[in-house]
Amino acid sequence: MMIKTNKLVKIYQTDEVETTALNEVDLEIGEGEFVSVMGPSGCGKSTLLNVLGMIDSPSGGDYYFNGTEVGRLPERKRSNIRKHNLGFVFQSFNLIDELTVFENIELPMLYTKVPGPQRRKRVEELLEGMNIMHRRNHFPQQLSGGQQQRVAVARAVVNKPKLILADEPTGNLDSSNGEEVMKILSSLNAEGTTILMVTHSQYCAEFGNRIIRMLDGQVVTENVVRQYL
Amino acid sequence: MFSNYLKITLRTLLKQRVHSMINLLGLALGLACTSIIVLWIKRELSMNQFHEHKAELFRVLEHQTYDDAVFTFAATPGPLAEKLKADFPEITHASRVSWGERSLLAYGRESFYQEGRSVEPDFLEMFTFPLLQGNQETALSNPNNILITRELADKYFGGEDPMGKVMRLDDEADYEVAGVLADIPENSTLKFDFLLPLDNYLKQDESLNSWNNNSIQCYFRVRPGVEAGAITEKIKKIVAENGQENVALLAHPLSDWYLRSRFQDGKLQGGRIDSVRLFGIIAVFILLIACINFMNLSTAKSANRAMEVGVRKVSGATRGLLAGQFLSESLIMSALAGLLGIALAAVALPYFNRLFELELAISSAGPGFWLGMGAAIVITGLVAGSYPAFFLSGFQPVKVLKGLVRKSGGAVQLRKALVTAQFAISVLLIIGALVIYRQIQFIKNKNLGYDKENLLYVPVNGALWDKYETVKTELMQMPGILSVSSTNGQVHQWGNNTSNVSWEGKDPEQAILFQTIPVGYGFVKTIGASLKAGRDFSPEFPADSTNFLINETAARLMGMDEPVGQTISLWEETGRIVGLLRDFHVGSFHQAQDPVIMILRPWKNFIYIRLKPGDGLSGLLASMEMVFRKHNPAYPFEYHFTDREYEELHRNEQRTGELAKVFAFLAIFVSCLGLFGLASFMAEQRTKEIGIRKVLGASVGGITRLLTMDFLKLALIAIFIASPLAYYLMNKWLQGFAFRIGIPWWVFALAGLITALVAILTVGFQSVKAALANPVRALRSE
Repeated sequence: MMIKTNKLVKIYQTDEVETTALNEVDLEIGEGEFVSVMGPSGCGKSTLLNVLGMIDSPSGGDYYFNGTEVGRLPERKRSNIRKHNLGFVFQSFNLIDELTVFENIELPMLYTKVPGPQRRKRVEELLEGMNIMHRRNHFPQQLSGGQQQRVAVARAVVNKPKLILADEPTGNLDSSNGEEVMKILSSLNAEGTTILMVTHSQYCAEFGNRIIRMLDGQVVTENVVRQYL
Repeated sequence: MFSNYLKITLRTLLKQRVHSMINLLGLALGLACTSIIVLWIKRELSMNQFHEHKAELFRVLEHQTYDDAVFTFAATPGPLAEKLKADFPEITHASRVSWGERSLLAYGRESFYQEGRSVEPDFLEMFTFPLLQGNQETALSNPNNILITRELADKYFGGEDPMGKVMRLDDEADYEVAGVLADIPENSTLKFDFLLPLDNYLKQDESLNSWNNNSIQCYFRVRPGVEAGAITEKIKKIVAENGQENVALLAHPLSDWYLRSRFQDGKLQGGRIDSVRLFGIIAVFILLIACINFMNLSTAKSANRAMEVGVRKVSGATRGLLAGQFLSESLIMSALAGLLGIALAAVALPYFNRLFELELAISSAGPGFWLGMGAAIVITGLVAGSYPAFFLSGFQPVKVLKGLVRKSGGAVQLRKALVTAQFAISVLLIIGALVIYRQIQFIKNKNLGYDKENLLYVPVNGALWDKYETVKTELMQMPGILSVSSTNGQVHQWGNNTSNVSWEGKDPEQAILFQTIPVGYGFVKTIGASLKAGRDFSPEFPADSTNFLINETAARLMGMDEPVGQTISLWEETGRIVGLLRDFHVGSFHQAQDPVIMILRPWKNFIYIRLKPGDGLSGLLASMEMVFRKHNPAYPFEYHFTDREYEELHRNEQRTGELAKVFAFLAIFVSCLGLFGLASFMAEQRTKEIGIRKVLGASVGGITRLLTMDFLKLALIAIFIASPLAYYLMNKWLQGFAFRIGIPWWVFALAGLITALVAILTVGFQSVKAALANPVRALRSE
């Protein structure tokens, strides 16, 4: 099992208000799965994604990633697991304005110390695959939303992560661009990458093989859309 | 990785042009000041360092004790040098050195005033003034030899070989060129155009052979490894043991000659080293203000970088790596600013050189300068980048990627504290500049007790000694001349003093140092001093040749209420006081009012001439020149105006004042740059608030006030912090003057007003812009 959580809790404390974002969540995700998380705003979807993505730490419970407890690891170790195993795609793309398309995609490889020629080869491969080769020297502001999200996806997969975490990847896109991004994610999943995606769109959610519904920080139902192989 | 940082830095620089310009210009100005000051400090520290035996060279100073006060002089008794060499095995060489005399040096038709020193043969073995031609062993052994510098050799002899040529000194004596010295380095405090053996100098003044007269400098060289303290301890009492009981000797090491030579009450009080420190601190201050700008703008603009931090963190960057990235950025900025700063410095150097009469140049700066600048650039980069690096790298990706930028109260408070610090430094420098300016004005305009305007003096030389009376008579016939008299010193800097004065009722233990001024008839009138009681010396009273004039301070110190008519003796010669002079100022404003005794003597080193105020100066000078040339044809006509010479005495203060003005302006300018950036950012941040306020009915004035008040409060706090500090520091500076201004309250008020006004203007511009914006647009932007 790639991901396993045991009574995972996340509480946000602001001044005198305490908000429970995750309330004893038990969840298992196997390698190669494509899991969609749905639920109303504020139900804890994104918090779950952030905790599983190791950019936020749980307040309680256990989180096993590939059999290792990672919920209580210090930031440096989490960062190390993150950069070798995880890729992120955000609703608002989060591309760095000062870097070109090429440089944005290349960025994670700088932190994993991939040598220059290999970096170039890998980025070019992705640019080709995402059909944005002609945009390699452009800056994010010069691209359409769809193109920006394709760059973001390319950046997420550049280190060949085992797990991609996508937070409403189509939220800022029109339907045709959204469709395209979903197809890319599906094909990545078909190649073996595990995907955990938060979305509001039922249509997008159905690209996954399992849909988890959340309410008030808890998992309420799990639908199996189709059995993964 | 570094190329990625470099790219980001340069692209951010180009994207945020105003913000970048503020940072770059501020840091560049700071570094420009630093580079000039590094050059200058390097020059100051290099003074006299070219001597091969620099660690072994000393000058003898005398601490002379009078009552409770100790005065320090470089004049020593003539027999000292020989005694030092004979009695102390650790002293290997010693030489008496004259003060540097201007003489008319002639060869054929070429004749110029040049400065020479009379020295002993050891001189050439002590100091590194190498002979290019001639034999070091014998060059100074013949009393009629002269050694000239290469510059002088070129001036007089052109391409000819100067060796063996005969030059005439002061139209009196002939000297044979026995050596050519390499030119004296610019960083030497011992300066001269030629050297003479001491023999003839000694013949002119019998007192040079006495232990009881201090009139020549003494330098010596010790064996390697002998410490200044140890040698001082050994030689300390020599002069006291030989008659002058109030004298203690001090071995003043070469490294201190230039930088540490101000003594007060027998204790080393500093000297040029104080200026080195002062300007060093000021450069650091300006650099600090620029660093604060950088910190403030970087943290204020952090929202723009937050997402980048988030993305980098989820991509695997650790906090350390990110801090490294932001530090690299500030280092790149600082390096760019360093280049710009050095270019600015190169442009400003000619001004600085003119002001300080220096020849500093970046092109000829050695590795020390580049090393110093490199260090300054790195330190600036690290200081400026430290807080932003710490702050920005601490963003949590989970928050920033959702657009929840941390609005840390800590960062805002720190920004306020930093802005306050900037204001405080500016206020400090403005107060400093105002006080220095006022003190200089005070010096310029103070009633000196004599009239320095329209008063000129002519040095006496050659035939003038004998023809003084004839020259005086002819000068007095000119309608533009009111009176003429003679004296043996210059009015603006007297230098003869003695404690050998006695009067009735004097405490035998009491020792007071009196200025003794030998003058000719009509001197009081000529310099424009005034008598409080009695009369001036007059040819009608033959007894005046043994009589005295004293000033009010002298009368007070001698305890005389009505001094005129009383008897005192000077140098064991008794006479009567015939006149009481109102106090007049002798020397610079650093010296306290001295007691003065005037005596009537025909020792005329200078002729003083009182001119009638008005036009026709050039015609008058031409007529005077004719008279002087007629009676003293071997010498060119040379004259000096007392007011200009007096100003020269306070040149250092004027320079300090000039620099304080420049630095105060720079400090406030760089602060304003930062304030401008910060204000524009604040206005941007509060767009929504301003929009809502306007929709609810706030006026443009109200909103401008709202935005400006925040900064004004900080300026006020800064004024309260800086004022007591400025008072303390400037009061300390003023202590160096015997005559000084007080620091009135309005100086602080004015400095505060200037700072507040500048803050209002800078912030006000941004505030009005924000207040005038269309509120609909502001609200839609949310």
